[in-house]
Amino acid sequence: MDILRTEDLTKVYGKGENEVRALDGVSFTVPEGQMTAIIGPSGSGKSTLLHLIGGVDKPTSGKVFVNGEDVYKQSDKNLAVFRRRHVGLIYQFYNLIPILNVKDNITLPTLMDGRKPDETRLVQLAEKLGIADRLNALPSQLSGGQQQRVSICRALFSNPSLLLADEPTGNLDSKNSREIIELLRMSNKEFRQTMLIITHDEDIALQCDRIIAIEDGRIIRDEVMK
Amino acid sequence: MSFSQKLAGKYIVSQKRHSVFTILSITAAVLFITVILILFASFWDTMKNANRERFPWHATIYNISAEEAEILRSSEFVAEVEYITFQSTSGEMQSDTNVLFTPDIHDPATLIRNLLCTPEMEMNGEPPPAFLINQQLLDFELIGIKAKANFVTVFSVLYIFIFIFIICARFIIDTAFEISSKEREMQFGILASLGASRKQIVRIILWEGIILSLVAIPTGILLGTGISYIIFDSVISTDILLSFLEVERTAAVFSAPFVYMAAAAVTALIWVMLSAYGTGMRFAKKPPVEVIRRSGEKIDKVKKSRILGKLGGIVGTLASRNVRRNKKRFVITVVSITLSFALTVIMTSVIDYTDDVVKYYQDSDEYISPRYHYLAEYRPNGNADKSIFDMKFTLEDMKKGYELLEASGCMVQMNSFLSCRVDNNDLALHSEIADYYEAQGFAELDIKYYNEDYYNYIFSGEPPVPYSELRGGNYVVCNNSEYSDCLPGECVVDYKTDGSFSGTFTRYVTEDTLRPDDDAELIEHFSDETGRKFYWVSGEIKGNIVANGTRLNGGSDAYTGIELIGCEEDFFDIAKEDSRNLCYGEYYMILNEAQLRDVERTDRAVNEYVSGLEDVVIWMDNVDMLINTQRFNRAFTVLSVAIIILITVIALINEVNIISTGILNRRREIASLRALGMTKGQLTGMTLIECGSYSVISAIATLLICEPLALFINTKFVTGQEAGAPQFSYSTPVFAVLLILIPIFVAGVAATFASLSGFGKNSISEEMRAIE
Repeated sequence: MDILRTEDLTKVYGKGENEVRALDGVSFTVPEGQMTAIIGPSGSGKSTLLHLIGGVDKPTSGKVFVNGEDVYKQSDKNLAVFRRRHVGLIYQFYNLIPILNVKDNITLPTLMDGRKPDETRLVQLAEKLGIADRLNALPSQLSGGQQQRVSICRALFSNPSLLLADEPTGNLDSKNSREIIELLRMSNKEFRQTMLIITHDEDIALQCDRIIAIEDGRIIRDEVMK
Repeated sequence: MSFSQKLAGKYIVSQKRHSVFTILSITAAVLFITVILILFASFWDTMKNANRERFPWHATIYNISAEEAEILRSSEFVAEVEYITFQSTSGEMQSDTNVLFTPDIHDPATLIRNLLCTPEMEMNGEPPPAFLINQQLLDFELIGIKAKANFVTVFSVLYIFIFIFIICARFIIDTAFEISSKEREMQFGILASLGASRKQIVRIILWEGIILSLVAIPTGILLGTGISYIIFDSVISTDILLSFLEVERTAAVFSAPFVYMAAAAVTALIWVMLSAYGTGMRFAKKPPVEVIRRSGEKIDKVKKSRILGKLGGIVGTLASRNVRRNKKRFVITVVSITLSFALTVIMTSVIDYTDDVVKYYQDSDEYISPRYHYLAEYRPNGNADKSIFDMKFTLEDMKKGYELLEASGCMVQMNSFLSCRVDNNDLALHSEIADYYEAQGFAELDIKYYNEDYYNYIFSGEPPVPYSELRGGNYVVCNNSEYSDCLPGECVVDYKTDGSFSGTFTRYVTEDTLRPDDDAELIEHFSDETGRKFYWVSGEIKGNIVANGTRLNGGSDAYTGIELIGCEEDFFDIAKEDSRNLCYGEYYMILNEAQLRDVERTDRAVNEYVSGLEDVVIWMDNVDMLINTQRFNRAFTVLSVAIIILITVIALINEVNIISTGILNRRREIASLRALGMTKGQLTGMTLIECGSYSVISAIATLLICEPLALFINTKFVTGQEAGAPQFSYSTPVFAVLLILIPIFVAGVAATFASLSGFGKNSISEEMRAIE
């Protein structure tokens, strides 16, 4: 079953002479549980594609379907709810909330949804990601690798349909990078988590089930590896 | 043009919104400093001028010779001497020597003594000449060591105010620079990574400050001068000078000395430079990559509010933590708002307190007697200058004066009373009073005869018996002083079983008014200093006591504690038989509530009316004091309100600055929250709770400050007054605090929405990318 489907997705920035076509009619589907790498040079439109799928940007034209639902047909409020429940976003610079401790950061989407966080799941996930002993720490008291683990934990916590990672290892050293990719692979296998990972790292891309290459806003290669 | 100047100019032009905001902030800061300095200068010069108008000399020396006056004139410390000779009422020649000193005199009194007291005089034990120093004028002209010391004291108090204003001004300018610079923090990082030195980055912001100040400082000075004029004019138009210095408002001088304006400009410029330097250094000190990535904000500890967390869920928790994430910003905001709250509370409390005090003394007969606002006398036939004892009144004279004064529009009561001796056997009095009377061997009562209006007035419209029932020798017994220990109901515990009483009224008259049937041999008499003899004459009075009453607002200052009140018609009957002994020709004139509301106009009208009556004089005017107090209250209120507004505006500007900076600094974080699923409603809720928190925390801090302050003021300045006197309280203006909460909260909300408005235009990813 396809979790994600994009139809003719286009994003244009600027007007007239300044017009930049960041995405140009991108269409593809992603089945449940697939770990997909999106690769391409800088400015090729990878991050734009990820943001459009994650509901944090608006397409100039085209559609995004997650679980069969047209993402951009929803009201602003429902789009926010969609981001809380169906998408987990991991950024290169973690984007943790500095005033909240690790536990609050992880459970934030659930809390914003007005639900009570599942403490058992929190402890299990934190243990798997190796941050169980840092739950009361503030982000500023963590290393880069630990912050990215918190970010992954936050993305996984509400069990989203899609996990979107924008260069998750871009800001980390090689040891931490390896560990983070291991964790992502583990959650893909263990929780059958569908993932889209933007990366420049060929090794990481090769560990994924599928590689989509983008250039000038278009898919130039779509290769299923496993 | 240097690289720094060029970039500063380009930033000013390209960031129009921030440039305007910074100009406004500097303008506001200059305005506040200008207002306080110019108001100080204007009130100082006005006092100087008013004192000069009252008496234009520094000292007057009495009864010295022309030669001695010349000695004074020859002193290097004396600028001018006026020697006046005149004949005293006893026919002696006397002199007044008025002197103006030069500004460099040390001590005028010592100078006069040194110049006019010779060693011979000392040896002969002759006293030094008497003199009077016009210290007030010397004080305001800053002449003499004492005046300079006084000035230091006054200026020290003023400086506390100036200091508060200057600190607030610093907050405003500092925050404005932080906001405008924060948004281009990344650009400074890039410049640094390209090789710009710390100095160059700081210089860019410094040049910006200087260029913007060129517009802001003159604007602030102009606006500050204008606002100072409005405040000054409003205070002077209350006629406070007339009340306290007895000079017309023309003596007021609006003074805007260049040196004060320059002081305001220099202070503001220094603050601008310090703020610009501080902001520049904050950025320049950070590693360029940190600035580019905006990873500079390190939060190691954040306090959270459990109450907000419970009430507002995650939104409340986030808001409470945001409020306290930056301690400095939190403290500045809370302190500036609390300051404005506290000042408002204190000043409104003082205004309320002075109002209460005025009302209290209006209602007591100690200062402004409620019995009458004016005491007038009718002295017909050109007898205005004669003593009351030299007058021969008839009942018709008395009624004529009554008619004349009634036309003034005031309620008029003839001062018609009998001092009556009553045998102890006739009235059983309150034990304490009875003891007193026993010591004297007789009981003496005041028996007063009131007209219907006044009768109702003293019982606040609820007399114990209707006025009509007094006719025919019936009396109400009541307290005649609020301060009497004697309770009215207990005054007369029992009187003759049938309620009747009889007594002898007495009055002293001059020898020439004695009648043949007066038993002059047996009458006690006394003589005044001119040798005139006064005789006691007496008459009989009988009546019935029909009720006990309580007059609410005191009565005469007699010690007896009780009085009998009868009706005017009965008095006329008694007076017909012996008007010589009863008719004083005095009238109480009382203003009604409507007249008291516009008391100045009424006072003018009454005085104008009475001055047009040939035979009537007002010889006691209690309204003057009332007017003076009201003028002082008005002037004080105008000044207080102006200061409150200025302080509140400072608090508002700071709050708006800080809330805007807080939100703009958190753009990426807010975008992250939205990416994680925060709705716009939740985002707005969060920021609104932040605004509300500042207001509520400041309001609580105000209450915590003002409670002990009110207690302190009460203990220090208010206690010691008689029981029942008003207490200084801050409880009355709680409503005022709530009123200020509204603009503070609304300003915060407006700042929030203005700062968040940009977020709606961009998508979340654009918002994050714009920063990154």
